[in-house]
Amino acid sequence: MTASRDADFTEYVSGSVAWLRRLAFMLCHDWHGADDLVQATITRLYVRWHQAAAADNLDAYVRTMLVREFLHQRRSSWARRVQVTDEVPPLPANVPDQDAAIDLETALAGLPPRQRAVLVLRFHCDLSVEQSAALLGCSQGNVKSQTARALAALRRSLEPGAAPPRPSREEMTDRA
Amino acid sequence: MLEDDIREVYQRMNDMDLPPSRVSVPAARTRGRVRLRWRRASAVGAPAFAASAVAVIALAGTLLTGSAKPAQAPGRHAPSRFSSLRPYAWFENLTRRQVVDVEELNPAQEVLLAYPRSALANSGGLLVVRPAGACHVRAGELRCSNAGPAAVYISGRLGQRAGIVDGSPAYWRQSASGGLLRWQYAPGAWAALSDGTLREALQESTQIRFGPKVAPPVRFPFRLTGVPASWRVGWVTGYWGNGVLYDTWAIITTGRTAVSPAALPPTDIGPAPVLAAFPLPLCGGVTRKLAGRTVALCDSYHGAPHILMTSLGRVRPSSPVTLQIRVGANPAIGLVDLFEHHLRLFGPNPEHWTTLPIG
Repeated sequence: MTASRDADFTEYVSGSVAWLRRLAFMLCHDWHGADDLVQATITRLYVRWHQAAAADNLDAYVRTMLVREFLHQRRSSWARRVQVTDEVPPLPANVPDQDAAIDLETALAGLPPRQRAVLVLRFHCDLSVEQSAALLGCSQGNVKSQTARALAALRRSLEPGAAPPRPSREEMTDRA
Repeated sequence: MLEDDIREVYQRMNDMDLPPSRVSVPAARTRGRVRLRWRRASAVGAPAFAASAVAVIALAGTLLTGSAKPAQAPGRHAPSRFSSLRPYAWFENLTRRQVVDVEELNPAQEVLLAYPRSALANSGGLLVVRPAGACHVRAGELRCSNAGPAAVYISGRLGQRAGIVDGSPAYWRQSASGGLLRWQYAPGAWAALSDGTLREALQESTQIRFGPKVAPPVRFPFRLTGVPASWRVGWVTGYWGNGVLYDTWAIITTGRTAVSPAALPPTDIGPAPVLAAFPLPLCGGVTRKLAGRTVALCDSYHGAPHILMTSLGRVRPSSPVTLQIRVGANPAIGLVDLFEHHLRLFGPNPEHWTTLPIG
């Protein structure tokens, strides 16, 4: 039974790790954090493999786990750490309008985790408000307001001469 | 439109070439198994813990009303074979077994071991051992001081008498997910063994030996020299086999930072195959090359400030050694100096290891 569980789990994760890492990168905006997030998620997935395997849509189930793990990590105290590196975060290659892309990506990275998650779900995963709310375990109104706030913060930060979005004090405690 | 721009950025991110992955599926499986094991243990321990909590509340109530009567602890019905031994403060081997999977070892407070029923089984019985004075019996209930998940696991109503182990009466308590056999392995020092049936548990218990003469002390593959005298090994986890603790993950503390397994979530308590596939734990810090080794410098890891973690190499396939040093917020010695000038490594041969990791 354990061997079968291990085999199924390994087969699924091996085939999914690429898209999981990409999704995690969109949430974390750095590859180390993304890999940590994926590692934590697939560990939880192993524990819950029986429930996950029985789900109608396993990918959606795992995506939900990953997003919730991301938000959980950003809430927990040990995630608050000082970055002691001067490394420039990786940027997409072959970007036509490099400056604009950097600005937008910087602005996205400056959003609070929950707003970041909402944007990824809405604009990358193309989930509806209803689906996003179900995934995040909140109301549809909350998803709408988070989206609106995120877009407003991005617009502000992309205005000429504007600084990147500055999270509130409450949001600071929610950030890595 | 901004929404389109966001989609475009995400699409570019999605199209990026993936850098080398640090994600390890075997590590996830191993950690997942440990979590499952803890879940099973909790299934046994949680009701016992709840019962303890109720008992404590009830006792507090009776004390407040002034009607408390001291309860009698069950007496020892036969002298222990090990009564002459002091309850150990250090992990000792389990004889007649080639392999023991050590999940937690806190020499100062408690030892928590888990070992498989066979080398291939993933669902092993769980053995929790507490030193003398850590637990006491009141009104048929074993109460252990709070020193991590093991305390919850071992505490609770003793249940029915079930034979003699180590010369002491053993107690068996059955639950839906298995049973728990508890006995005193030395005066005032309790052990608990989970197993499927009472018969299995009694059989397993005959294979367990305690005492300082049973096995040599734990040897470490490193030594820290020239560090303050208050520094000590606070906790070590590993994989016990053939008299050597492989897969070591040691935590050095400066004395300012309390080290308790309770401070670490169960996901981090695991045999080191986790570390084999994922040499540096998920500390979120930066990695540097120091003296030819990759070292993770974490400013915080599960609430502990300033951590240095490094994989010291492998003793044998899938047996890495990882050292974690918690130096606190104001270390007397800088992390980098510590690694470059104060840490001596003894290589992969356990023959060359030391029982004195500090000094």
